[in-house]
Amino acid sequence: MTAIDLGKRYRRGWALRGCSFDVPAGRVSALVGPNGAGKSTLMALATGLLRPTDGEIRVLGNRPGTRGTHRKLAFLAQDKPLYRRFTVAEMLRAGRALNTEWDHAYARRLVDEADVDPDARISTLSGGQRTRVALAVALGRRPRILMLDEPLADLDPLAREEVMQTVMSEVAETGMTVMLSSHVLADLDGVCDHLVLLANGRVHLVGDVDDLIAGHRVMIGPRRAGGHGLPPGLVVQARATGRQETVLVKDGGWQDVTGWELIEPNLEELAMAYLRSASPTRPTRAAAEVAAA
Amino acid sequence: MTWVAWRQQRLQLLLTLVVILAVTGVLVYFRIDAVAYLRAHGIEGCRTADEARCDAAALSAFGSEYRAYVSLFPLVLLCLPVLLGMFAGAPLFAREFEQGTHIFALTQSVGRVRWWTTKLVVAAVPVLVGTAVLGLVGAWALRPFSVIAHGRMMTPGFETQGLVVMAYTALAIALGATAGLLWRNTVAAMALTIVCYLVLLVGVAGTLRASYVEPARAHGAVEAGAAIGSRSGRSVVPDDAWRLSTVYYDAAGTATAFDPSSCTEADRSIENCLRRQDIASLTASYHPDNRFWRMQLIESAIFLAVGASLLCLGAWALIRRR
Repeated sequence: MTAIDLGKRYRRGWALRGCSFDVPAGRVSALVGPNGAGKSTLMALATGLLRPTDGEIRVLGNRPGTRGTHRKLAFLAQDKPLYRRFTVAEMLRAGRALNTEWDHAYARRLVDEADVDPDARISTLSGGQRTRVALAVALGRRPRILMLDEPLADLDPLAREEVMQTVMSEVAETGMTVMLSSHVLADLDGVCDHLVLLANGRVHLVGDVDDLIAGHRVMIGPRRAGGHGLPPGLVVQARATGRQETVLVKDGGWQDVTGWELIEPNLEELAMAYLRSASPTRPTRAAAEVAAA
Repeated sequence: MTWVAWRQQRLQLLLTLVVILAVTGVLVYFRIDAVAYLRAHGIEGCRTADEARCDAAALSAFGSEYRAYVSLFPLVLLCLPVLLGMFAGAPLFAREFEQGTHIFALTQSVGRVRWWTTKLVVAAVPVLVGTAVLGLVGAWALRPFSVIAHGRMMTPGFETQGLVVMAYTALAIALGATAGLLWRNTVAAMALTIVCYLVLLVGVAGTLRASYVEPARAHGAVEAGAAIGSRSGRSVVPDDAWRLSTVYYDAAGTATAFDPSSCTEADRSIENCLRRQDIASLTASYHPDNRFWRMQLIESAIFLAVGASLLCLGAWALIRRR
């Protein structure tokens, strides 16, 4: 999946602007950003639900159009929309009726594994069961790309684990590409090997998680009167708490400096630093400025 | 896609067909009942009262026997098309948007135009077939009541039978479906359907319908009994026709005004009142009963065309997508 200078404007303004990134095949990519960053818009553009205002997005080499989503792309929307009055078995039948490529036995097996009664109505299912059924319908298409919009948002911890397990065992088996969005970073750590970080409708960070971690360092040192004195172009974000200052630097900005403790950031620290720097009006930064004054 | 659309509409379609069957059943029952009554009283086939077999007393007895049916049931038939159309059309897309299921349907391998068409066909065609049958059965079943209902050319006779029942339903479905597609809200789409439907129906009936066909004209002298709405059988305009306007002339042949409100008990008949106001003859323009099917066809064509353009508007908005 590739986006080139992708932009989408609603009546109220730009939801996504100048986004360029590439999700290579076989990755599990985390689409991270605060609420309203444009995550859902990006997914709607990839499925063809919306049309870009600017630039383009390509899914397996094709541009999404009005004739249905690419048959190798499956999408699970945020509130797991399913026909409420259908039974689970009927929902699978709907999946078969709406798709040219459909693996019924497989979808059925996923539902059985989730311990969902096929004759139960969708409206009677719990949040976790509903997600499992929606996932079965999505995977029944045998996609090469699976897109999940906030798949874990309304689930209890046990259901989260089960859903992620289903997805990850699928990845292990078929090597499909997954893009999942979340604003809860803890859900994604250890699962994703690729990151696309969105804030305010723009891409702030993109790449393989290992490369990103290798290219950044958290520097911890005592607070100095004249600021941290590091080259501003290499500092992603600096935070002062009490007598101590924490700075995230990129591109080897930690070399040739002394008096700092260097730590490899984890995915969450990395993403948080970029998100904080992307939204200067957020209280965290304001608090840091107040402390510095 | 057809199966999905059918599964979504199943319950509603069955309920709709039950309602149509029930209404058709009532129509057929009263037709059979009335024909038996007319035969029993020897007044079958009478269209106006005369001095022979069809005497006025027997006809008015028939009228009072079925008064409740003839005055109330047309109201049911008048409301039915808009109600059926509204419930079939407004939620069709609006509810999908409300529940977010359009995201499910449109992210499968089905194009949005096929999604739209299939849903519309599955929801609309059975209802339209049902209402077409209802309208045709109605035209047959209400025939014996023509003599008490003043014919089928005027409101509500014209709107409650024949082809227009189906055409009105089609318009209501198109209104509801398109409003639901554009506003994505079931209640708003329903309200909009009712309002637009009434405006269109009243507008067409009030302004266009009279001019579908050139009105027939009849001229008669008051002396010869050419009075208005007379049940004597001598009126220039048949009882079951739709009278549009009347022009009055004095003895010299110039058009003059007639003030019906000045007629008093003392005049004893409308002819005397006309004569007292120096009116010698009159010309009436009207649509006779034998134009019923022709005008039904024209009215149906108008409503179907408006409905089709609304659907085109919806399809255009759907393809253009935001």
